[in-house]
Amino acid sequence: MSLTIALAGNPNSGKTTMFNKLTGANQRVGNWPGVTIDRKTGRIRGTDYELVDLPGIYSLSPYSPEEIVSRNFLVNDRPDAVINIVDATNLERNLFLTLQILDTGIPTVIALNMMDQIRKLGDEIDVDKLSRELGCKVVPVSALNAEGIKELVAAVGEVAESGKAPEPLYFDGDIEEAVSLAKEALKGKVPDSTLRFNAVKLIERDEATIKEHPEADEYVGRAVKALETKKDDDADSIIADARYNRITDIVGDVMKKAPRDERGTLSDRIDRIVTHRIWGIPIFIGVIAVVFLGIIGFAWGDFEIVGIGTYCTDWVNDVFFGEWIIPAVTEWCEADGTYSAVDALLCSGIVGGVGAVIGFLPQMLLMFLALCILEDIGYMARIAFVMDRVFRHFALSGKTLIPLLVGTGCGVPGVMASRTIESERDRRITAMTTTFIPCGAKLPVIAMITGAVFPGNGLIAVFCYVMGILLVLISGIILKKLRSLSGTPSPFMMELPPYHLPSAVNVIKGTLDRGWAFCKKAGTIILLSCIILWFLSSYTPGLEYIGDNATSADSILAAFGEAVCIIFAPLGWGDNWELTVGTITGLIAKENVVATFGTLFGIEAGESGEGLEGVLASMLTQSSGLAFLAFNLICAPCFAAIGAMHRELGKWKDTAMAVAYQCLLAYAVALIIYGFTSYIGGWNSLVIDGSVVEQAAPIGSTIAAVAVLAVLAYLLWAKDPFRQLSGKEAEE
Amino acid sequence: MSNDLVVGAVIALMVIASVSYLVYQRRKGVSSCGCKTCNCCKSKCNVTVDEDGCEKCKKG
Repeated sequence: MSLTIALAGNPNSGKTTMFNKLTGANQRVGNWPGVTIDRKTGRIRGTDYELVDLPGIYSLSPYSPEEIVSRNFLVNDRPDAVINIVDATNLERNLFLTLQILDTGIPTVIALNMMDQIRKLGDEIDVDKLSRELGCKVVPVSALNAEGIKELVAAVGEVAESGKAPEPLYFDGDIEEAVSLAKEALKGKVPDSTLRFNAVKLIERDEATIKEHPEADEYVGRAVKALETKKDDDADSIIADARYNRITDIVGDVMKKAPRDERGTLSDRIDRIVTHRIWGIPIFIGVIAVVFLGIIGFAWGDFEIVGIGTYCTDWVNDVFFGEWIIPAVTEWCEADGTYSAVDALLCSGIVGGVGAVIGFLPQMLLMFLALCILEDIGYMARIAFVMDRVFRHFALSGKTLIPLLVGTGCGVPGVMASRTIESERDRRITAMTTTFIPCGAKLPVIAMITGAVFPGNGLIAVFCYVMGILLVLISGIILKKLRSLSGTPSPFMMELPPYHLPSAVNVIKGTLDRGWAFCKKAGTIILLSCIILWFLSSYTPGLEYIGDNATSADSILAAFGEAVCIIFAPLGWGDNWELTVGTITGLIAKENVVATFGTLFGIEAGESGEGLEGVLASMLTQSSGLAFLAFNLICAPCFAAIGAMHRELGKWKDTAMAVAYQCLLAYAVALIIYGFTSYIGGWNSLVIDGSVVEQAAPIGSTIAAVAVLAVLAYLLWAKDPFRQLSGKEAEE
Repeated sequence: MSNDLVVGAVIALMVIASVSYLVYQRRKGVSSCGCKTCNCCKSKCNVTVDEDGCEKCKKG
């Protein structure tokens, strides 16, 4: 018989790890709460049971969309059984959800997870006694070490097939009387199986239940008021208090805690430094700086340290492509003594374009490795904690940090992770701004521009991340002043997982998965884009082949680029249509910026084969290069991320507004960077054939930058017209 | 001339393989960026994990 089993529990209790162990799947596991935002299904190995992994919840009174997913599935879809994952190291808090699951009347098995940690701490849990107290099976497990999995599957099979509902935990007299009255009011209106659950929720003043059964709410209204007067508290707190009293009794009976070190655990001691109110943020910036200086390197005057990633990328470009692949492909194409259009398409279009992107693979793999390690040891969760204080100051929820952290890998899941935010307004602002944080696809662009105008200086990459966070904060202030997005930030509560040594399997798998996704993208979207770009750059509008001469001003691409590039003249790169075309093709996928230059100039670009970066250094000054980088990082993301934004925002009109906002902000930031930094010594010169050529000061851009800065300052400091609708004033 | 035909055939094969893979990914609900995330409307979908551990989107 095919049975449906739900996997429910608190965030970060190990549900997804358990899901992978039970089904043999490879779902992404993150060492922070909120990794699962949609329900996922799989088949338990060796059975025909369908297992549904639900997003983590703390209670069955949900606030955010992903919590609603969990509640609706348990209450409306009624699985045959529930595996309630309980983190044994946080028994009290986890049992709060357990008691509510028992109220649903669904056959339940408790998987007491992280028992290895309990042994390590020297604690003891009497599992049999816990099982008797809760009236359901309890199986001690360790999802991470695959301990107790067979026993869990056997127990859940037995419970699901018997269909025996667990006995709910009854409250004391007064509360239970009110629950009985609510059951009477709801009789016949809800299925008998969910009668108690709905009755308790009605007494708890659960919004969803009241909205669904207003007449029942009216019926019990007087009884609830009487209960509140008698207990001198609101009904929600009375029920929560009763549950916690019961939990305290149960835990006191079944758990013996070993004496703890007064200084706290090792994680506590590390957290005192890492999450310190003053040192927390400098440490975070320091960690990011160490990562990028190690990967890209550092250069200051004559002092230069070559990063590991830069060294590997140089080898891939100069030796692998420059000495092996390109000569071999060219030789093969010219074997018949001609170099036709198809030969040029393969050599310049495909190998040049895709090769330029693949050249950055070593740097990306190292970056992914660093992010996976930081995530697996538990540091990412600390970043969210540390930044929460800053974000709240700027009227944004600390919960915004989770999508931003997810977005460092790819903007699409980053935007989707905004669903974990309860407040719709915060959620929309987060969906609109998540892509300001450089995703994996933007790394090759950062590496390429850094290599061209700031050779070997990893601090530029650090600047890009800090700029991304600052722009999210600035956007928070500006957008909150719009009526449709005004409101107070949602409360942010997150459990900090204990630090642990990174798991080699998790880290290697995470790195290779992301690296493989990058290669697949290079072999699909980027490849197809390069073919189209090559065609557009090698043919005239009259479809006449003009040869493998990418810089020809007669091509379709040049005609288009030259018509549009005037827009970017105030930003310092309006004279080069190639840079304009690169910016526009980046909308398909951000790596396309690099692929476009690879196709147009070739990997071994320049007359002396100085490479892409050499050619770019003759087109971009340090100021215009930084402006180009800022514009490409902040402006509209790739089409996939725009699609994800649309799914979160709901309407195309809102999506168009969000994209327009991103582009305008990108233009403003790039203008400010170019307008002001051009006066720094050496920042306004091009490197042409090895000689430094100073450029004229961009007076017009500077005047425009002053005006834009004034407008931004006004938007930042102008009084929030809607503050009284949502802020403390409203409460007063 | 024969060499051009071979080069052209190689390019054509690459294009067919790329397009087919993108269509396959799209049908599985995987975004064009390669992320294993559900691609359809959030209110009417859930993600199913197939026997290979790959995600696919299922309209609910």
